[in-house]
Amino acid sequence: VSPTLGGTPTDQPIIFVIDDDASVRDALEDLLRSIGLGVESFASTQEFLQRQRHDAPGCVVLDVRLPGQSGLEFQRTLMKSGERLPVIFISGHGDISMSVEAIKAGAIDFLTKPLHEQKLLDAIQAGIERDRARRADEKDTAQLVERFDSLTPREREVFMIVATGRANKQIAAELKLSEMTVKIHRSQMMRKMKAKSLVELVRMADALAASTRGSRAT
Amino acid sequence: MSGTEKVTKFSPPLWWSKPPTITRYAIAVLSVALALLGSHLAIVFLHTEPFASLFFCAILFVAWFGGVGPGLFATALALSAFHYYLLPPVNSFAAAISELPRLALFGIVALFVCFLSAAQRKTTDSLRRSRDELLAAIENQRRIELSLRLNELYLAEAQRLGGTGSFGWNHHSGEIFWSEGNFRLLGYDRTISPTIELFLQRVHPEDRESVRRHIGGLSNPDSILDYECRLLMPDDSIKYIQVLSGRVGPELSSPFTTVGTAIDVTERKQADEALRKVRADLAHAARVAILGELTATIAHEVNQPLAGVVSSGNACLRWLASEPPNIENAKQSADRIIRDAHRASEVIGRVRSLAKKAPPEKEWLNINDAVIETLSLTRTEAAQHGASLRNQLSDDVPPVWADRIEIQQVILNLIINGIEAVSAAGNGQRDVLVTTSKVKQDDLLLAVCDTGTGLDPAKLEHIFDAFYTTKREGMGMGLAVSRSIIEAHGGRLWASQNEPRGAIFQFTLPIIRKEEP
Repeated sequence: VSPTLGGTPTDQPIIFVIDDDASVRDALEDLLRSIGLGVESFASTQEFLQRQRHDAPGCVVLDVRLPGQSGLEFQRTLMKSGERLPVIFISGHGDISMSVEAIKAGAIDFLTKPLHEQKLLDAIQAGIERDRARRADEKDTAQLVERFDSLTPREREVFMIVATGRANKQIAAELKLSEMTVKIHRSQMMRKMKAKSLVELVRMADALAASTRGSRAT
Repeated sequence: MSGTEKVTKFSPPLWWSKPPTITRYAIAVLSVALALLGSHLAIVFLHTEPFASLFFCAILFVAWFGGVGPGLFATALALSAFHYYLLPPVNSFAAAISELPRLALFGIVALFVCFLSAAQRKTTDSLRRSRDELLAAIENQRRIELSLRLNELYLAEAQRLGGTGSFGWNHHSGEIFWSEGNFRLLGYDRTISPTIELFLQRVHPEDRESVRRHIGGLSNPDSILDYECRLLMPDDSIKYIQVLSGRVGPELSSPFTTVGTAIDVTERKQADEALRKVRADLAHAARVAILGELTATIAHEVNQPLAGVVSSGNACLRWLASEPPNIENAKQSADRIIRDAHRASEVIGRVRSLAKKAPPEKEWLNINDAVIETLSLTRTEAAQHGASLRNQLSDDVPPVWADRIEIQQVILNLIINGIEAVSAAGNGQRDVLVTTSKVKQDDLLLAVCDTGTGLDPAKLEHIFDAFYTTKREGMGMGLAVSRSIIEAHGGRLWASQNEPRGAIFQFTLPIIRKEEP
């Protein structure tokens, strides 16, 4: 996971500009500052990976044609390392196959230079929103994991089976417990997970499963 | 054909050969002795007069068998034996006078028989020898004929496989010979008797006139013909043939004054054509690829600073529009705009200096020489496109101060354009004419006139633009470069319509008199 500056995470968005051309880099930084966005710019992808960055919602504006690793390769590298910052590609020459590949790999947009101001700002707005949503999701999941961790082993077993929609009697038979004991475990578990209904609990189970799948994938 | 085959040596059968001399003389003695014995037996048993004829028989046999020598020897022996044993008084050489005529008569008849028989033998022998020689000669002739027929067969087969034919022609009698291969090549039946007109009928109408000229040139005794022409076959297919022929010297005592061969070179032509096309395509592809690469690089180099200019411009406007306007930041943006615009301009400057070539190397140039040299370079191209190149060069053109290579490039470009234009025009006259002349005392004019497709009046003003082309394979640089070369030399290059069809491209070059460069 990327290095971040210490201290409390801010909600002030930051845009990371990666372009080897100083004219483009400086002009973009200037433009984004003029609309009140935080900007950090980098001349290469190495610099981006090495430098410590603020932990804030934002996105990457990435040149396709870079010395060494190309922008598209870098996008893949980012995905593999679990960095989920949204990417907006900028390119000196519009190449359809390249743009298709970029969008398929999850890029917000693929823009050609000289950049159309409105299109750029729209893409950046979309990127920031996507990153905010992702961060909120990640925060919820973290809470869920915390709650799940507070359950006793027996309560976790009950959680798993309840989430599949089975009734207390069936759970009791499966775990070889009395129906009464199951009821107690179940209410304890529901309280600890802060689930108000069975439907909410099933949703939580799904979110947890997705997060474990996601962490396994990364 | 091989005429060196040896005449078979005639060898007579064994019994004819003359036996050794000693044998022949022994036989003479034996024969006479037998005759004498016969005569005696006749006297003893038959009580008749002795048979002189038996001696004649012996002489006859010996002379026939052994020749004149043994014959004479036998004659002498017979005479002696006759004299001694048969003439009275017998058993003595003392013959009576009255018997002498008989002896003389015997001798004369004996000699006569001897010579006659020897002569007969000789005649028979020589007759036999003649007959055998004749038989041998006939046998030899048969072999020669066979080998000749085989040779003819090989030749015909070789001509069939090689797609060639041979021919002979006698100017004086008009007699013409075509080999089987020639009939096949021209697609005629063997039963037709060949004529020049039949050949010309097959020649492609567009080539007929030049072929007729070639044939006309054959009256020159030293001429060796080597030309190519197209044949238009009855099925509308086209054959390319190469014809090689030359005069036959009188010392060869040939029935023809001209012999030659025609070779079907269609496949070679097609292969050449394909190769040429592939080469041209490749060269063009390489040019376009380099140009494409170059363009992409230049475009990227210029685009980067332009991208900076646009974004900085946007930023500048926003700083100015903010409340209150941020003049300091707006100024910085504007500075960046200026910096990036300069950078873009520098890139373009670099490209220009890259494209700038070495300064022209000028010399006194005879434009007519340049035209003739250039025409010689384009003969093949013209032949391939079926165009005929002509020139009308004025003697009244002074040398001009110009870069030979550049001017030749322009002439070459105009001629090639002309050739391609007449080629594209299809049938009819396909002429490209190059003329030079002096105009208004101080200008030299060179014009390339073609009878090709001509120029679209609507597009006339664009044809000198760079990257403008009407050709599928063209890059649209030729005329643009040509015009810039001519203008760099202080001349003008322009195009107009030719009458009744086609186009004229012409340029002027100034004639410098006063200042020696």
